[in-house]
Amino acid sequence: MIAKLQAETHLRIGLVVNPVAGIGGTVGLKGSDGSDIQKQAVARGASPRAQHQATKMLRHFADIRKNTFEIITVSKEMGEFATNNANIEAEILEELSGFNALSHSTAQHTKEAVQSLDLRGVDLVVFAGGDGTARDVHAALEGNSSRLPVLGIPAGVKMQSGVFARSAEDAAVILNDWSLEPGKTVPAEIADIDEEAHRQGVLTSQLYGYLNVPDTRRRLQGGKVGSSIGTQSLPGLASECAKLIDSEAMCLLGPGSTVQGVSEHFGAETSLLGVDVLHRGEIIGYDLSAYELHQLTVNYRLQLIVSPIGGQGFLFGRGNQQLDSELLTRLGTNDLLIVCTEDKLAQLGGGPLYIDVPDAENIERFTGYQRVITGTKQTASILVKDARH
Amino acid sequence: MTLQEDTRTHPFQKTLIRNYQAPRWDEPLIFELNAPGHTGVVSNSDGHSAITKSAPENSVQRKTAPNLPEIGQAQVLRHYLRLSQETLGADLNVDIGQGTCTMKYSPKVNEKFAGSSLSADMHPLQDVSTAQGTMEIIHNLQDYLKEISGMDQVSLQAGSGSAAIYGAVKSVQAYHEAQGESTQRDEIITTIFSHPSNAATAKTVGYKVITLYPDENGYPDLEALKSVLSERTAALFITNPEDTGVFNPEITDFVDAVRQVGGVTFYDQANANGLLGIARAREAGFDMCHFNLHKTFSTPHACGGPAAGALCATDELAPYLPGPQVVRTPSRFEWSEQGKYSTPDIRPFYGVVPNLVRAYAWIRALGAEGLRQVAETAVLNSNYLHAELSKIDGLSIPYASGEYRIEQVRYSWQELAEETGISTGEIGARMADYGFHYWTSHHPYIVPEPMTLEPTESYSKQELDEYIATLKLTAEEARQDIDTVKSAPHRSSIHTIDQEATTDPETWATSWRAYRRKYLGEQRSEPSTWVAPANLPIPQRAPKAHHR
Repeated sequence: MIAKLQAETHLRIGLVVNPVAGIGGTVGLKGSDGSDIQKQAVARGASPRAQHQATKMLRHFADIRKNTFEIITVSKEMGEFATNNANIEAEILEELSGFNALSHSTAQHTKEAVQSLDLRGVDLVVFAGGDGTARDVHAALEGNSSRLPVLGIPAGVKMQSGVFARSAEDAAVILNDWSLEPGKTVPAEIADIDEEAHRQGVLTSQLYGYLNVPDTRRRLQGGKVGSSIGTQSLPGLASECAKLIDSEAMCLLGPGSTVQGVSEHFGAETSLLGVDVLHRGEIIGYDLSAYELHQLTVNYRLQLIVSPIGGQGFLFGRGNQQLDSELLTRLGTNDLLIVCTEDKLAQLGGGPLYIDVPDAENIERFTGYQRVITGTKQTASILVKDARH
Repeated sequence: MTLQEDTRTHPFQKTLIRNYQAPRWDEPLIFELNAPGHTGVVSNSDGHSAITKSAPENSVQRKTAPNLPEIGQAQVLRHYLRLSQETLGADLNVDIGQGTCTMKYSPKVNEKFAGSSLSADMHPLQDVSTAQGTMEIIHNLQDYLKEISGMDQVSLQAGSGSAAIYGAVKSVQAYHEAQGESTQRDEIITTIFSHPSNAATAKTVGYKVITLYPDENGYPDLEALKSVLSERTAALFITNPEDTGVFNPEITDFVDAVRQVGGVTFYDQANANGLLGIARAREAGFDMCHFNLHKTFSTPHACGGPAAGALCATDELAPYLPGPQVVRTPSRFEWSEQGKYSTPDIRPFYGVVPNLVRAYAWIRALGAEGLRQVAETAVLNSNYLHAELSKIDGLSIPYASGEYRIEQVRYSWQELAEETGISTGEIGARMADYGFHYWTSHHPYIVPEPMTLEPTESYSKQELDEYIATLKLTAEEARQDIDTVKSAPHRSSIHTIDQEATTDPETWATSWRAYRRKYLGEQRSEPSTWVAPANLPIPQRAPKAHHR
């Protein structure tokens, strides 16, 4: 460790600022998605918070960073102004210099910027924004094989995703810590809520996928990035599931990094966001639709391993709509295996968990207090509610 | 003008805020201070030495001196004073911030009793005829704890609170074995805010653990419990009030429900400081309970031991308790016989006697009324903190909003964290700059950004006010001078440590021998073994199953 501290580690950081992130929050608009909202926000006197947050992070980073680093960023409001304010020289991506950020939504700009930075071979991308920006970053990197790490500087209204540092200053510290041992990353959820519904007072969240974030657990404990999956208890979850799985049954593996991590311990490679089917120890269905799941499993006993998803603890109906009411109706009471690490359960405040499956008349047996597997020889009794009531 | 100076003169901020600075001594390990020939002398003021007076004990006299460092008396005193200064030692620190641990004052007079040669020179292999005074103390302490808990029998063998709980789990297992149900009953139920040793010891023994989570009231719904009760239920291990300070008012319903399915009910009273003389495990219907004598009964916390745990049971469960108890016969005090179903010893011999002596002395000094006053004062102090801290912006008190707790409260800095980005851990580090220790909560954090305060009965109002004022100041600093808080501590002996070192057993050296092996590269030596002298009586007790 000491040798590493003294070594000259050169860090190449890509910086993207979403200049309209968080613009709606200060004026009570519950988010900043949609150009109408952005215009409305400006009319109500909102000022962009992302510039300020990015500048704060850069200043703090320059203060604590002992070794060299390099910033590559986008022109004007998307990064250049923040580096200027922090008195840091930065390379500006010329190919994106035509952006006029404040005139309309920046989703496309963000995606193009992240892709350009990836091509430049940066070590990671730091972005200032909220969940919407995180989704754009995720979209830019989807299908990308480099698994480029990212770190969010919190500047949005909603930050359900697990990619954000607790504060701009924390982002600087995380970055500095991580630079001592670059390469260590963990997946973190990209989640967002439906802003239009949220404005109507309905809270619904959706899991969009995962991005890699710096693994500096020491610093992040209790922080939002720490809400990325804790890998320590996965073997325990896997061993408990293994005891309960009937190899002759069709075992559906729900989406999410917890179930994927559990499956890895079975030696099964599964899709991160899809529903897969395990039978006699082999994955025989990969990322299937509801119809395909029925076709494949129709004459078999059904089992299901699932983990709560998103910021509000949805068990069914968010991110796993493939598990439709018909499949759930076929599922025996004891064949639902809910897995969740203690850390994740703590972030959900110990429940309740929710089910939101339309037209499901036979899911009462999955509501009420349910056993959740939390580790080796360890379960919790957690309240599951029907979100429709 | 700095923030600190400013708040000193602010109208509401009359209480002292210390300009504290911890010393840094770079103090070597005591073994490194070894100077052959140097020595210190403590006169044996009471003139007694139990072991030399009782001749049969020659067989247990060691032939060679223990391998301890040789150091002058003044050097020893300086060494420990310096360590104490560098670690916010028990006599320096107002330890309100270590909630759930009941950091009360350990009266010095009790050290005198425990350190007296009448106590310190005793040996567990002595004949009981030469240990009647100590036996009487243990016997009376058993009686006092029966009275305090309402239980029928007490085992004082455990060398820590967790060891006592381990003994309780083993007793539960023995009980079900006697009923022929030990295979069937393989589940132990606890709650997430109960003492973590409940789940840990249950797992150590091999049980499956089911954890209940709180509802919005801060304690689990009775329905949550009922949903997991079955013929597989071995026991409920529960703390009340839990670590949040919230008292579960439905506790008797919990106990009844578990008993109805044939499970044993165990009341974790590691910390009974809010209930002394007010409520008893017996009346709540429990089968067993335990006390950490280093919490409620004031014996020192030391550094993870040696402590003492008292395990109490009703007559129904008493036959399964570990360890012998002291019984009074017409002529003298004796150790009781181990029964057919007794849990094997969880520790060698009879418990940590010096701590039993301290707890006995503490109870004797206070009497029944004094014990109740301890609880009332502890609750009053906690309520005072609660009321004052409620005025701090950014600090909230999750669960049962607006209601007082018992003797401790788990607060949340979540609002401050959202506003400023300062975490509870960073507030704790900043509190060290003012000479205060501060703890958050067990992991995982169910209450976000937690802070757990337990003022006990030991601290003065002035000390409580100082703690409150310092917390207020720290919250204000988080808003106005975030960099100072982020980079704290500045005035502590060590600024920051790599916390990974505290979670990696490979780096630990918990003894001088381990330090030499791990850090000085010395070869592992076989520990010396004790060879029984020929004239020693044959042990009569069952083989030991040591807790550790």
